Amino acid sequence: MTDKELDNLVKQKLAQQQFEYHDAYWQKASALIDADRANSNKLAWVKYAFYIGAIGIFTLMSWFLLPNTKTNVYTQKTENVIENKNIVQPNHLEEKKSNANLNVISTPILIESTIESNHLKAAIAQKSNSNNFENESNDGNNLIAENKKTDLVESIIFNTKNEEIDLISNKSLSLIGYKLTNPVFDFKNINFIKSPENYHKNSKVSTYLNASFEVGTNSFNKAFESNSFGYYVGGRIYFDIGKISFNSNLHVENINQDLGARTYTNKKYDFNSITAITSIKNKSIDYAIIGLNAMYPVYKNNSLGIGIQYAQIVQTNDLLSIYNIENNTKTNQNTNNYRSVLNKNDWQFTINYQNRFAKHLAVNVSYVFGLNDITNNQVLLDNKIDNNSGFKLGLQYIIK
Amino acid sequence: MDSELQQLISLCIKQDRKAESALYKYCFTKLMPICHKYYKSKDDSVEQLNKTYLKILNNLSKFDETKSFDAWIKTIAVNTIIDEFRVNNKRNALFIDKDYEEAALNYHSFNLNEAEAKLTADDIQVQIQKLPDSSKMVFNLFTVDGYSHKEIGEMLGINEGTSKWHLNNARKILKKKLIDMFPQLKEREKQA
Repeated sequence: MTDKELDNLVKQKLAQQQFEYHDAYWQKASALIDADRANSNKLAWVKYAFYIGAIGIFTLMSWFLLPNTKTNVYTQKTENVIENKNIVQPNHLEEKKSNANLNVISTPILIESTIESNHLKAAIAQKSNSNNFENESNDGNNLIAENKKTDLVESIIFNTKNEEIDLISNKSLSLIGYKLTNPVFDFKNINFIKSPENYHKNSKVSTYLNASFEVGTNSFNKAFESNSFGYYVGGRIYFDIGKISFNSNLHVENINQDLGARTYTNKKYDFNSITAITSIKNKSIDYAIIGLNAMYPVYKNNSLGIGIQYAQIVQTNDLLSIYNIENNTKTNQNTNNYRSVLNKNDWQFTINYQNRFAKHLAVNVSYVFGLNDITNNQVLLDNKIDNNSGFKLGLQYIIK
Repeated sequence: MDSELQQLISLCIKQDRKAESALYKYCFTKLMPICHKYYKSKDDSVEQLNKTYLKILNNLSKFDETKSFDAWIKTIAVNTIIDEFRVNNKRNALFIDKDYEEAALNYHSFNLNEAEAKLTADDIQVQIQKLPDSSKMVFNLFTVDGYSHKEIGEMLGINEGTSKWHLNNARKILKKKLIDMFPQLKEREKQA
């Protein structure tokens, strides 16, 4: 029997096969069609939601990136937290100093040694070349140098020493008299990819286009030596070439940093005296992120990959703690007008793992390396590198 | 394409359920023989046919009416089967480390006419289903569905040599099975 004879025999015999048709077959097919159409309708809504969301994101980005000309500060809550024991009144200055048995501080150098903050010195130096805190504020250094009312200045600064311990730590970044202005920016993000159902894995050079929606959380621990937790939302476009799956992500990410250990501090001067000390205790930063990633399927539905992404701060919201010396009160305020201490953009490198555990669902884990120093060292005069590095965990809905 | 089928397609594009049922019946007669070659049970074959039919319905608007409808749905059926084959992670079995070699078959003396007379379609079907999955896939694509080794290689992501190896492997196994089914033929050859 030759190969051709065998082939002909098989073809001939198979052609004789008869398959009886039953209505039950159509019932099964009909159910399948109905389910598919129901999913298609849902998918249509998801697509519309994605388009609307994308338009909204770009609109917001455009709006936030325009110059911000108005101040938007409001008081969240006010509470009297400081007892009256260390309040210094000009008329009782000498008496107060005597009672407290404290040394008199007469120069900015003494201020530094008393508060034990290198950053304070740097900020004072910066202060002399920058605008003051508010329009009505004066240059603190110049006033201190003039020292026309030495006793008052000394006492107030000394008072600051006692009361400010919980406001300024040894690691604090002090920005005396630095003006609070408009929003900042910075970046950060993570990404992942995984080819849809290993589709590309089965073809030499097949290509595949897909998209996904994504939500997740982040946790960073490098920036400001503080922990941060936040969330991100966005979408991702996949383009698979052979086994390698490329994707580009557009995310909006929020990072909420408790600055506990390193507090920005601003001081407000009125004539020769410090009248208020403002500390930033918590920063909420919103980033717009765009990235490019490459993923490779390593085993079944598991993929590993690397990526790089660009992030830009579109908005910040800072929780300020304002200690008003004159009134001896502490006030908490939220403001979105603080930006100059952060770099507005950044680059990040990511290592990604993805597991596609269901047809349309995948979980992503990323480790993010912040490549840029997110703080503006020209302002802070600080050589320390602060970056957003840490983990991100996300859940993806993949369309196809 | 006859006007009746054309009208049926037009109604299906408008999601007319009766027309969809009629077109399903038409597709069943054309595609069931194809699907059944690749699956062991009739239920699996019907399930695969239903998936194929869903794709046909979803892509009816893209059908070029100047071309053969039968050929178009057959292509969709084969592609759907291949996709399914990939998803089931059977692809690795397609890659053979050995280079293609023309296997020396020792069954040339097998009396075809007698076997042809006694064999039924079900016998052939059963023996094909016993083939290794990858060899069965290549054998069906090449022998029954008429694809070339180059086309099979592109569809399955393998090279032509591997496709030839699987075809030859399938043929060798099938011939051996037929000899096993008709041992008297072999004996008769020996006596002769």
